[in-house]
Amino acid sequence: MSPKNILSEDALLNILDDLNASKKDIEKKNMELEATSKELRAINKKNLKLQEELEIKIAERTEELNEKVQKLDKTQKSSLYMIEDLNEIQTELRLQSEIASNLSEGIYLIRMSDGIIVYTNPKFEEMFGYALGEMVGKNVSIVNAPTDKDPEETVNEIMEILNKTGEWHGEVNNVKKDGTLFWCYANVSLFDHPKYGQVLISVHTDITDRKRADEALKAANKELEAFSYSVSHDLRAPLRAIDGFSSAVLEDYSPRLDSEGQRYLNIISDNAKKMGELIDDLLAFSRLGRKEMTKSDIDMSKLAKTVFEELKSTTPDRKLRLKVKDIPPASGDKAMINQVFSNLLSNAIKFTGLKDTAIIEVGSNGEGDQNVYYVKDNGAGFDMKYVDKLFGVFQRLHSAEEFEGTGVGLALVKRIINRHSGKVWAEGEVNKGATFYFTIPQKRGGEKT
Amino acid sequence: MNNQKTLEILLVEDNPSDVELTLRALRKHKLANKVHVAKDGAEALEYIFANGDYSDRKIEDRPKVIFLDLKLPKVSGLEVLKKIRDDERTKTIPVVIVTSSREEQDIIESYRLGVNSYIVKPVDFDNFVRAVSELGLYWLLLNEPPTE
Repeated sequence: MSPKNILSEDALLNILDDLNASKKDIEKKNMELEATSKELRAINKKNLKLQEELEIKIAERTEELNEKVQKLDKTQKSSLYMIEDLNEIQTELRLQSEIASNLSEGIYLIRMSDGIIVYTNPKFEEMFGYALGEMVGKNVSIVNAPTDKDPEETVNEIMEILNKTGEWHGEVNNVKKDGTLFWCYANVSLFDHPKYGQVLISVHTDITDRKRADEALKAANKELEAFSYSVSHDLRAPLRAIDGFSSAVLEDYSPRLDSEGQRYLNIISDNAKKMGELIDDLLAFSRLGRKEMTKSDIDMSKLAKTVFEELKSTTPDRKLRLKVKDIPPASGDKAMINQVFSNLLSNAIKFTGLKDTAIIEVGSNGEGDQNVYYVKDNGAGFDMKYVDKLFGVFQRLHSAEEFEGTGVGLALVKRIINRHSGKVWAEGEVNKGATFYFTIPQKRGGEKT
Repeated sequence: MNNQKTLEILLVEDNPSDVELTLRALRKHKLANKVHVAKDGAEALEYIFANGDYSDRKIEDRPKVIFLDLKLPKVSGLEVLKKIRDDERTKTIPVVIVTSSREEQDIIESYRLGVNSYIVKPVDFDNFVRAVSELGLYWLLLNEPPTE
């Protein structure tokens, strides 16, 4: 009998050993599992911690990002504002650019450090006959016409006024690209440019037409002057003959002439003389309208006294007393104002002819920006009823028998004062004298017109 | 030269009235008897240079003074003056321009050509007479003429 179904002790012991080994294995594996479990638990813990940290970090980051977003928002907003501003500026610049482009005047800018043209507007280029952009970068000397004056001197003169007043205005002779010379009126000023430094800006107006008109006017005036002169001289020769031969008859034939005959001849002679005076006065009157005025400061009291002395020397037989008050200086054409005093004072002397002593007074009342001057006499005076006629040409309020004269003197005075933008008027009373007033601008300091 | 000059004044004037009044004024001072009148620039030149109508004259017979008007027919006063000054034989003759022109250009040009004096004819007759008398007295009596 073999016990096949009964396990031998050895086999059981083997099985037990196997079981024990397996048990040990399992325990070992259990322990490993536990260790792994522990590890896993530790890892879990770590994970949780990391997760927590992560969440904190996320929160922080989110806050940071929020802040950044807010900042970006603000930046975006201010960018939007800036864009708005820039748009406005751009519109403004576009407008200014349009203005410069479409201006009917030429503008150019010169960099003062080296005299280079740094900007021209289209009109300027057109005026000078250059293509767009052709003038920029060139020296300003290309536009200046040669003059007999040293160009440096001209520049210095202009710079002096520019530096003093900030502006210069005046006529300049320019030259176009093709060499044509033409005149412009330039309005110049200076300013500091961030890129170019000190810059001169000039606005040019083509005054060719005006100059041409001026020249035509000057020529016409010259012609008229020559004509008047020649007419007056051609008229004078026969007058001299009339006067001369009448006198000759009176001298040579007076024994054969009765008093009437002599009287007639005297009338002829007197009228010839009078006509001569009329011609002179008319010439002077017409010349006055065409003469250019040169303004300067006038010492009015000195002028009045000088004129009076001259007049006095031509009437040595008269008793004349002049009172010149302290009168303020004025601004005007000295030669013309001399004429005014001459006419008014000689009138005063003339019309006081019937008085024993002529008392003539020159004075003034200051009023606003105009000075009122007067010449007063104690002579024949006039009726205020006819005051409007006083200043007309050839108007007289007295007959030639009472007082000689052609009646142009006051008209001349009125014309001169009008040219000075002043007024002239008179007050008088028959036999009680007359006062003639006139206004001219106050002394300003020697400006030339 | 000790010859008595037959001519004292050469009056060059185209206006007959002015001529007559001038002579009349000179006559008053007994200065008129040695005046010759030329009525235009051409006649004046013929007289001075002794040619044309005056070929029988002698150039050396120079006037003491020439009263010369500017506005003359044929040859103008300034041209006459220039010709007188350009010739050695006549250049020292005193010339007084007596004219109605007060034009600056005329005055400048006259002096530039060497005129001795420039007088503008007074318009007023009395003044004219006075001027002519003074001129006559001055140039004929007071002034020393160039000797040759």
